[in-house]
Amino acid sequence: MKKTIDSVSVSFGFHHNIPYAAELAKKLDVPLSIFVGTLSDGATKYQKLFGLRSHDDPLKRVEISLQNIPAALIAYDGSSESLLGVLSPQTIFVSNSIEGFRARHTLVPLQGKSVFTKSKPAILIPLGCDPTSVYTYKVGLPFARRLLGAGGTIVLYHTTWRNSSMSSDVARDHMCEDARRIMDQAELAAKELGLLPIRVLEMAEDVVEGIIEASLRWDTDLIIMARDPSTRYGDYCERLLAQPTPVPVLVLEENAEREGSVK
Amino acid sequence: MTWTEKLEKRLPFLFTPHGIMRAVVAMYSCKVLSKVVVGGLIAGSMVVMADGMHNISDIGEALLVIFAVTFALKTSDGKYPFGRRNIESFAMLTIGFSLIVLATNIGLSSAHGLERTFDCFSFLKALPADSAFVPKDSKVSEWYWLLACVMSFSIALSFVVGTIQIYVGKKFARPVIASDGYETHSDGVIESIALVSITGEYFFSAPWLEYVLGPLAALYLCKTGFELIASGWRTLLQRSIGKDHEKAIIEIAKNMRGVISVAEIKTFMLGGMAMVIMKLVTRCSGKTDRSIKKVLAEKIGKYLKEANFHDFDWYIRFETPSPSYYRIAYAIVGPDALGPAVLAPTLADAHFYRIVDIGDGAPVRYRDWPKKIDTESAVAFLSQKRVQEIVSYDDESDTCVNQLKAAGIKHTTATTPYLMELGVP
Repeated sequence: MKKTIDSVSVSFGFHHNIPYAAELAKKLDVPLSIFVGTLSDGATKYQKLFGLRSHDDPLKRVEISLQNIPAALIAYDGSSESLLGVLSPQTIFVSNSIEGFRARHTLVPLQGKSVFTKSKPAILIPLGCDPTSVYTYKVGLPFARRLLGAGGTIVLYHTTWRNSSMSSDVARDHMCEDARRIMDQAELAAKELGLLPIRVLEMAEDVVEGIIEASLRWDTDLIIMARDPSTRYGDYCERLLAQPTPVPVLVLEENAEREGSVK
Repeated sequence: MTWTEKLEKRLPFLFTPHGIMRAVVAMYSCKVLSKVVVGGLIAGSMVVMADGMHNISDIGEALLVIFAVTFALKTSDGKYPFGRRNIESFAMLTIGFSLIVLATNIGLSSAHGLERTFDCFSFLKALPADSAFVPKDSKVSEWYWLLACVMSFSIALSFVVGTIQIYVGKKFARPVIASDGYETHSDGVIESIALVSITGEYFFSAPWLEYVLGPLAALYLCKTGFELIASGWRTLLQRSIGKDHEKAIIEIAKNMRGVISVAEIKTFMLGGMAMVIMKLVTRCSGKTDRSIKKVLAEKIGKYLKEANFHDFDWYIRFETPSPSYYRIAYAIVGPDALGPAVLAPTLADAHFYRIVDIGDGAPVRYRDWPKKIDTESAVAFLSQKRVQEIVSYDDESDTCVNQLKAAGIKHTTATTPYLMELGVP
């Protein structure tokens, strides 16, 4: 992840996300790319209209508000397809929508105005029993380490379906073997990275509500999840954002990782 | 682990609201019997006999507490939406007043004892007569050791049972039981004075020691009585649980992601239960509100428990932020052959003005108006439309800015000319 994430991107159209994106870039110590939509003949038109004004004026104004964060202005034609084309696979795109960005890691701040709101920030990573969960902790934990630093708190969350053949009320008893293994591996990986893992096991009535409640209960500032490519309908990530969660979500995309590693 | 917790493991039946109160009734019954028979009829001790008579009223109080606890346990219904827990406050007031009556009686007895014993206290004769019971023949010296045993055992019992009552009262959020526990402790203090009195009489022929210690005990009882009355009074009048606690609860809510602010908070006690009524401002949807409510209740509950409120209930409502409608105007050029409409450099350059109604931070309505012939009439028009802010892409001339300022309209220079990026509809 350290190699793959080299910038934070944000669209100027979602200008209310710029402060969040700038703070994230600062914490990750990477430059910020601000994408500004232009028209095909925009340069001629605006140069004509505004005389000596050049296209980078908005950036200059933004730069003042960003307090000297290394930022670059990148023009695109205003369509989401075009934006996807110019977004680096190694970037984290800050946007309140993940539609049309299946190939990029997207951080959705929603109502979040600040990356961290607590003096001891924590990040929640929900885990399941499928390969997507393995991908989530393998990519998410190094990112969390980078954002939180050594000793940062990671809440590893798993909610399990009840095994009807068991009478126990202890969530661990109802976990499937794969989920236990993934949870153990994630905990070990977190410790190796110098993070402080907290394991939370539940039998929540609703998976999405369980994730939101755990994130609020443990005062986490970010939820890291990956979209499961094999889920045809009702992906937890999408449902979490549709709810919507009050805690920002980093949606990891395996496609972006593959593309990034190819590069 | 404290001794009460150890005892709870051995005698769990005693550590329930009704269990401990039954034990209290049994204890006082034994006390009355032993003190009246041994102290009054056999040994003829005035103080022990009087204490035994006073214990009869303690039985009455214990029965009142049992009634209050039983009644308060009834669940809430349509007639009593908050339940009947405040009945405990009436019982607390009764116990508080009875302690003050008892303190007055002890004070008067001590005063009259002093004026009967020492001439220098003769001025105390003016005080109202006390209701002290005076047996005819005192045989304290003959029965001292039996009396001392009875009183010592009674003192120990008062402090042990009183402490258990306070423990159970706090654990089950039954303030009336805890209050009665303080009353039981007070009995221990009175019994200690009685023991000092008979000991003084036996060893030093100085029964007046009781009269010296009596006022101190009366003060102690008064203090406890007033505290119970104040507590019951505050609960009955639904006084807030305290500004500091409310501030802390607001902080907990505001620190939770998704909560914009706390619009309203009301707290009060209902019997031994802290009630928290809150209205939160949030932009979340119903399902997320439910999650916020659930987790917030857990966090408030944890805080209140740490702050010694052993039971609490909450009502949390949500509201969206106030729409705060206002009007904003954009000076626009185009669309033309060069492309779509964009922000005009200045008010004077505009082809038209787009007046947008903003509600809850987002555009809710807009209408385009043709440009005016000069800046003065443009400002007059915007003022008439009650526009609060005009946006263009370049700095306006000082004259224009001054005209806008005089009309109470703010001028903003946009960071981009593109309407889409400004969120202009």
